[in-house]
Formats: sequence, C-alpha cells, structure tokens
Amino acid sequence: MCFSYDDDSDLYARAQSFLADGAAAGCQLWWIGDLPPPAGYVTTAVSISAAYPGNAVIDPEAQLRQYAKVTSAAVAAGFTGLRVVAQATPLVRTREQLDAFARYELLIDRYMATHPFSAICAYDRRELDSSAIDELACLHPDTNAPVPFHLHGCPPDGGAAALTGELDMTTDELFEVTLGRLSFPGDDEVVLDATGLRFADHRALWRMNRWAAEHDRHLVLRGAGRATARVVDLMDLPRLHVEAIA
Amino acid sequence: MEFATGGDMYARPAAAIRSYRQLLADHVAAGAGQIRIIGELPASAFGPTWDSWMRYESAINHAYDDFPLWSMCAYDRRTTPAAMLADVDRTHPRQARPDGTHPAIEAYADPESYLAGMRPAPPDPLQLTPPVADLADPLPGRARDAVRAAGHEGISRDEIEDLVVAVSEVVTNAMLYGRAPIRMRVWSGPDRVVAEVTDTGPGPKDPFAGLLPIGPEGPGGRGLWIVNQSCNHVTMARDPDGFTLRLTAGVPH
Repeated sequence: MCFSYDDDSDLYARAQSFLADGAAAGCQLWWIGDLPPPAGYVTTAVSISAAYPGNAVIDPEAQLRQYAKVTSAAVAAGFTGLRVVAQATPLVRTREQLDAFARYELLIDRYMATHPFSAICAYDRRELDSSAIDELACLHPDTNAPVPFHLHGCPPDGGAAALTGELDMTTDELFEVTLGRLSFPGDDEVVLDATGLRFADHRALWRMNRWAAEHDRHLVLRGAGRATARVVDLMDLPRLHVEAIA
Repeated sequence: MEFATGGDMYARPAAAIRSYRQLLADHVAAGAGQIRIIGELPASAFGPTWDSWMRYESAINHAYDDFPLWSMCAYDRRTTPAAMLADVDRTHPRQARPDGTHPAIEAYADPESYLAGMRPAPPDPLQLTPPVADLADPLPGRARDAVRAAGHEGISRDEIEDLVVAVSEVVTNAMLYGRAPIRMRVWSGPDRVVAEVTDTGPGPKDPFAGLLPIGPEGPGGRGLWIVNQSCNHVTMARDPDGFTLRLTAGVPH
C-alpha cells in the first residue's frame, strides 16, 4: 500500500501493525529507510540513503529482480514470504525519479499479486508536494491518500493493469500524467481490468485513445460499464475498445 | 429508394442527425451524386419533446450542408395543431405545394437565430414537487451520485447510467464554461428521472451546440453532444438569471 505521513509517529503506528501481522504470518520483515526500525520485529534493516545515494533514479526491472530474489531466499529460509516497509521519499523527489518509480510500481504490484511479497511504500508529505503524493497514491491499489482513481498492477490473467474509481475533469491532469508514464512490453493489445472503473468521462476516454495511438497499441477496457461502451462508440475512438459487463 | 422506419431514425433529435449523416456519407461513398429524403417525424415527437424536435428541424437546414441533399419534411395538416404548424413554418424555408411550386415561407427564421432563441419547454409536472436532491456548486462526482441515488425500479439501469454520463458532462461544462453559483436539482417519478442544472452564465455561444458533432482534435468539447445522444429529452433555457439544461431519463412529460 501507499502510506503518506507528516508525523513519524503515524508511520511507526501503521508500520508496527503491518509488521506484527507479517510476523504472525511467518514473514521475513525488512525495514528500508533512514528512520530507525521499530523495536522487536525487524530482521533486516537497510539505510535508503546508503542504497540509493543522491537523487538516484530507480531501475524498475532491476529493483523488481532484487525483491524477487530476496523473497525467494526468505521462502527458502523457511519464512512464508517477505514483508517490507520502505520509506521511498528520497526516490521520488524529481520528475525523472517519479517517472521511473511509477513504472516500478506497476511491476511490483503485479509481482505482489502472485507472490508472497507485501509492502508499504511510505512517503513523507513534509518533503513532497501534494501532486507527487497523488501521482504515487493513484498507482497503488490501497492508499491512505484519497485519490479518485487507481491504475495499478494486477494478476496477469486480469490484464496488464487494473483501472478503478472515477475519471472526470477533477482527475484530468493526474490521469494525463499517469497515462504518460505507462508503458507495457509487447506490441499487441493492452487489456486493462476495468471492472472497478465506476465512471470515465469523455475526456478520459479521449486520453486513453490518444495514449494507445501514440504507443501504436489498442487499449481494451475489460469489464467497464455499458454506458462507457456507448460513449466510446459515440466518440469514434478507433484505438479504444470496451468489453462491457453483461 | 431506401425506406427507414421513423422509430429507428427518430429516437432522439441529435441521434437522428448522427444517423442521417452516416447514411448520407455512406451514399456519397457509394457514388451518389444527389440524395433526396422525405422524412416524417413519428407520433411521439408531437408531445413533450416537441421543442427539441423543432430545434432539430431548424438545425438540419445547416447540419447536412456538406452533402448533396434535397430534403422534404412531411406534416399532416389534418392532425398537426396550428401552434405546431407555426413552429414548422419557422423552421422550414420553403413549402411544397400540391401544384409543384415551392414558395418561400415568410415566417422562416434562419437556424442561427431560431436556435439562439432557446424558448423554454414547459416544466415537467414532477418539477412542481420537491426535488429528491438540491445541490449547490456540486463537483461532477457528487452530481453523478445524486442521479445514481434517484434511480428506481421503474427505470432501467442503462437509462440511469446514461443520465449519470450526461449530468457529469453538464456539470463539467457549467464549471468550465459557465459561471458559479451552479445549482443542480433532481426529481424522481414512477417512469422517469429529471435533472436540471443551472449556472449564472449565458450558456453556449454556438447555436448548434450539442446538435452537431465536433471532431476528435482535443480532449474536451463533445460533452453537450454526448448529452444530447444520451438522454430522451434535453431542453435548454436562457433567462436573465442564467442558463438551464434539463435532462430526462425515461419517459418525458
């Protein structure tokens, strides 16, 4: 999940219950960040400024491989999985960092959906502006920062990613930024699990069609509502397709 | 010669324009150099939705300019009330007489001035009862929730969802192009849900707004057209206090 905080004690409170649940479930527990780990649970603590000096830009694929390796090692060592609290603020300070981190989020969400790995990504609101927090929050399925829509990784059989919530003029800018960071491997159609997409106005649909055209892909909203299908049909958006719910 | 049933062609005015434009484009693509249409409005047009059909009749004097079309609208003088025939005169430049002549109609108003007139339709009787929702300056999401909450078993889920789409676009337009304060009210009756959105601005400048399609150049700009494709009745009214759009899902009254 994405957890933003402006008081360290809020982070500790949330992290402790997350880690306690993980300990009870037999997970290996990692603490990544510059704050000291809470007493008791943590098996491994990593300083983030040591791991990522300066304004390092994350390598999404390499980071994913790293967590996959650690998760496998934890399971091999007899744990049920890996559970991580990562204070990721130093990794999302610049636009370039945010772009890379967004791609990483989609990869790690997908990995989490099918592997015994779970994490809290913690962001310090005192160091990031609110638009950066929103840009991160909407990439997580679960967050304490309320955003009207989410675009996050999902199990592979659901699609390339899941799009949930409501899209309208109030989310137009955020959605444009989020779409701009999306890239999926391959050259075939990109299926989004849209069963949780409650509403998308014609601007958002136009933006999705344009994304598909710019990437030379076709975008499929699987499980969206019939009203969305009707609007797409009306607007003549050749790159956007809706497989509506029955 | 092609025959289309009125019910299919004339479900909603803006949808009729869309269907006709497609039909005309198909004929031109197939090599037609000249197309002639005789059309007759269905009986349902001669009721509460009459105002929107007269806007349609006025708009189509311009809506098919890019096609080689001659068209004639048939009205039965024996059954059409005099007040309605007066509206027909205002929206048709010429009258076809049995002797083959086509004299100009003096009362004809060009579409720009007719459509800019926005004569308000009579209120739906439901509007004389207390609304189920009365929102001040709603964001689109709140407007959508109000319509979802007003749905009931007398009206299909699809119709409510189409009204949700329409209300969202209307409130968005009011925020982007209109002027605050914005007020939205919703009424719910046995066979319909009515939503009305008023802002204190002057309304759209383009007299054809909502009736004619706009190209796919930018992310916005097609809201009012989608509204007109999605609702069974759309009325527009402009008065010194502002601009009001009324949308009906279900059976217009």
